Amino acid sequence: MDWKSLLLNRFSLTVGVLVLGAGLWNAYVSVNDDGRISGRVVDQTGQPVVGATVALSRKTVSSVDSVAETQTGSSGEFSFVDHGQYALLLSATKADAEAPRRTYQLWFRNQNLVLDEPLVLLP
Amino acid sequence: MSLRSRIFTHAILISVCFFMLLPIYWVIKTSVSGENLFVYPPSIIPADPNMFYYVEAWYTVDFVQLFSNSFLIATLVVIVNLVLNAMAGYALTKHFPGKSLVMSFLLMSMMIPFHATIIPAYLLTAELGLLNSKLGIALPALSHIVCILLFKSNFEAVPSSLIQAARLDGLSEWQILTKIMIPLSKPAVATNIILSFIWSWNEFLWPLIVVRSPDQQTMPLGLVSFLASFEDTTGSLYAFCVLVVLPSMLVFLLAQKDFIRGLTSGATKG
Repeated sequence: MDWKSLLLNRFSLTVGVLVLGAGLWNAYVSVNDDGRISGRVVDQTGQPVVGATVALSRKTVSSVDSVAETQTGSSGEFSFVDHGQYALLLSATKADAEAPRRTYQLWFRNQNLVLDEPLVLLP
Repeated sequence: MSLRSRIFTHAILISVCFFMLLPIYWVIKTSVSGENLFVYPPSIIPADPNMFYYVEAWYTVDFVQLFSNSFLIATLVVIVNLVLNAMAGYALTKHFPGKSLVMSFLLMSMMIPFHATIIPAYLLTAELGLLNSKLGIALPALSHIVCILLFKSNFEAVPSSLIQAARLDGLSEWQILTKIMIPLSKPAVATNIILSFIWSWNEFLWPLIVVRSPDQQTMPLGLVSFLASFEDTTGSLYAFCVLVVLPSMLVFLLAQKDFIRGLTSGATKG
């Protein structure tokens, strides 16, 4: 049996494609698994909110646990590092205003996440 | 066959396929939508499908450990099955005193369900010190009588003149088996691989009895621990079910042509 027929059969090709896919996926994960979350908190008018408390919670199959908290900066920005979750919840509060809790389902644990839309504080 | 009867046959086959594939479709649909099974009216197309339940299933149980355990055991079972069954099948093509007795014994053994022999099998495994080990899980599946008989019928289909010519050329029995019989019985080899792989992969009762520690658990046992740990996890549970059956389905789909040929060749040539 020559090497061509050994390599170019459906068994070898299927295993090869699976191994290649797993390798590419792992490479992608290793580049994007710093666990960085970045986003902004704004008020109803779209103005950045300084000093709001942003809470990061973990969503498991059976519970919701608090993981970390941070304060927004001068332009309403916030960030978390090394969150270590694959399903998480973000919420923001300041005084009587509160942003509804938002759920994020990630593709892998500790995936980097940039929020497309800011958290909006509602009175 | 006339056009009308052909259409009728195909209509029946398509409807049978529909009913057989519907549960599989439903499992896949639930695994991407997480919809409760008892929702009425049931939705045929998943609403807001996503792959998150697969991610959740992956992290909820130690998937890599379960998968590698199942894969190692199934690989061991397949390799040993091929060696033992081919040797036994070849031996049974020969004439020797007591052959019919051996055949009767093998056929009778097939009639006894594994559940009836599970206690002696357990005691034997314990005596060998193989409880809670991969080899212990694989032990009862290392040879299947069905596969021995499959090899036997395939080997009997090989022309005896070919074997005699090989013998005249100075080949030993082992060489005849490995260089002539097995290469000419590829469908039997494929059938053996599929059957032993699927049986080993799906085996639940025996691993449940011999496995004590989580690091030796196989995929079906992982499914049970998944069920035991969490109750309201429809999507993740079904996603895990898909991940459990996917490898055996893949093996079957890859070798189905040879599998069907392997099951039928002995019957037509023998």
